[in-house]
Amino acid sequence: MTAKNLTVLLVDDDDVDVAAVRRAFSTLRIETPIVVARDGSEALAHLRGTDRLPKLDVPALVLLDLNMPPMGGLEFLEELRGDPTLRTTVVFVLTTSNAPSDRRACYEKNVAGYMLKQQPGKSFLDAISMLETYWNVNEFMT
Amino acid sequence: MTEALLRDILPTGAASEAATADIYARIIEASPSGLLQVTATGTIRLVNCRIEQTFGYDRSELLGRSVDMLMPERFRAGQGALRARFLASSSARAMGADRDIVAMRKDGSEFPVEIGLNPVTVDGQVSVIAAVQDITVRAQARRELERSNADLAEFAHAASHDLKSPLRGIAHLAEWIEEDIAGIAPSQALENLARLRARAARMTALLDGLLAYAQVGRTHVDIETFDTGRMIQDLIATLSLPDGFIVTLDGDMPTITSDRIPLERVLQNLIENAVKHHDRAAGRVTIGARREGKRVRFTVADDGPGIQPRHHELIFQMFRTLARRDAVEGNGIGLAIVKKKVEMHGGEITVKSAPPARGTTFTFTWPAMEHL
Repeated sequence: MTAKNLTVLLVDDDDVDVAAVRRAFSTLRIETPIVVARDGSEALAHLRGTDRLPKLDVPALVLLDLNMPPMGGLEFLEELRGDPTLRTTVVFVLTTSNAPSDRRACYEKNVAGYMLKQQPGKSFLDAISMLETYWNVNEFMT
Repeated sequence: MTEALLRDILPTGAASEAATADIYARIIEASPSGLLQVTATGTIRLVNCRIEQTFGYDRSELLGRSVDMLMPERFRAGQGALRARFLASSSARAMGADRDIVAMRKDGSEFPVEIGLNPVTVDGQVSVIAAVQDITVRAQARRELERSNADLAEFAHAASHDLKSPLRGIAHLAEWIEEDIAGIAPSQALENLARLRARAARMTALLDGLLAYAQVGRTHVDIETFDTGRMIQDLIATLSLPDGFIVTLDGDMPTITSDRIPLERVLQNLIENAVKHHDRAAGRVTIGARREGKRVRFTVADDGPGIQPRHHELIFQMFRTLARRDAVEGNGIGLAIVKKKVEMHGGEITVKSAPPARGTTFTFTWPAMEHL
């Protein structure tokens, strides 16, 4: 389903996790394109069109892991929210970290949601289909 | 008490006053604590031998000078006001009970001290007697302990997160292979893939347990007043215990003021444990609570198969479970967490069971403020 002209920017350095998201998209027949960045700085380059990367069409919805060298998720959020052209970007966090400190730090940076990477199965598909619902019912900044 | 003791051993009569003064002076001199007498304005009037040793000054350099010289400059401001307030309150107390006090030697080096203060009136003048104890060794040991505790917690946290990522990858991959070859693979291959996934799930449960254990006590304390009977009934309602199992309260349950959340987790763990390890389809868990001064003694008793006395210590260890791994779902960490929670709250937990007699009773104490 591609109700909107939207791109998902998946920021994750674990290729199995990337494959899990792709697989969930295909299982749920979501046709929204996925662009993968391996860390925060690569994600910023995609959003800004720097480092010889084509600038992503807005709106992009960012699906963000936290633990990635060299630029992790929290540092990425810091940079994103400080950039006047990118500060309104919708970000969902998808991470293994269940630490209350990480959760707080993310919500303080205005993330739209915080999801735990679960074991495979229904709960993961539920999380991804929730994302689809989210972008179908919301109007984005363009 | 000391004075009475001295009166007995001291010479009596007017002529002996000098001798008495001499004995007092020698006792002060021989005290294993550093002793200082300081006037209301902060002038040092008296020091003993231990003060000289600890600070590296000769007493001639100290007497008549300001006590400020014994502390680092950054702590001197405000000392006068603190001293005045202390003298006004005129009761004995420990200085800086809520923080570490730092003193400074003659050579400028700093060291941690513990200071006990007591006001004393000499010749109508109020002054302060301070007992100074160099606690370098103790402070070092405490720092060492804090560091090793922090290391351990950090290790468990990092280990379980970092170990869980690849594990989740393995579980995903096994599932995808299973999905992709479902129609064409021999049944044995599918069976082995299922086993692979089950092992990954068990490992995840173990790591979750490790993480939970490391995190005990790292959340903040929230003291509230509540009815323990009501709390337990609410808890039971949320547990979805299997049909056939009932939980009953034994007698009056007290209303207490305490840290509710961890107490609830401890009771939940013990109730679930009793049901999980029960050998029959139906059973009963009985919970009692009795106030004992500043604590409450809880009992959680079941009518299950009981636990052999030789296992009574084992069950509180991490990752120990007496059940066959496939028979009972659990990561073997519940009772270890229960014990850690109880002990961190200053309580203790014991188990009583003597098979073949039925039943196991866990008893633990929990702090509770006394109601006025």
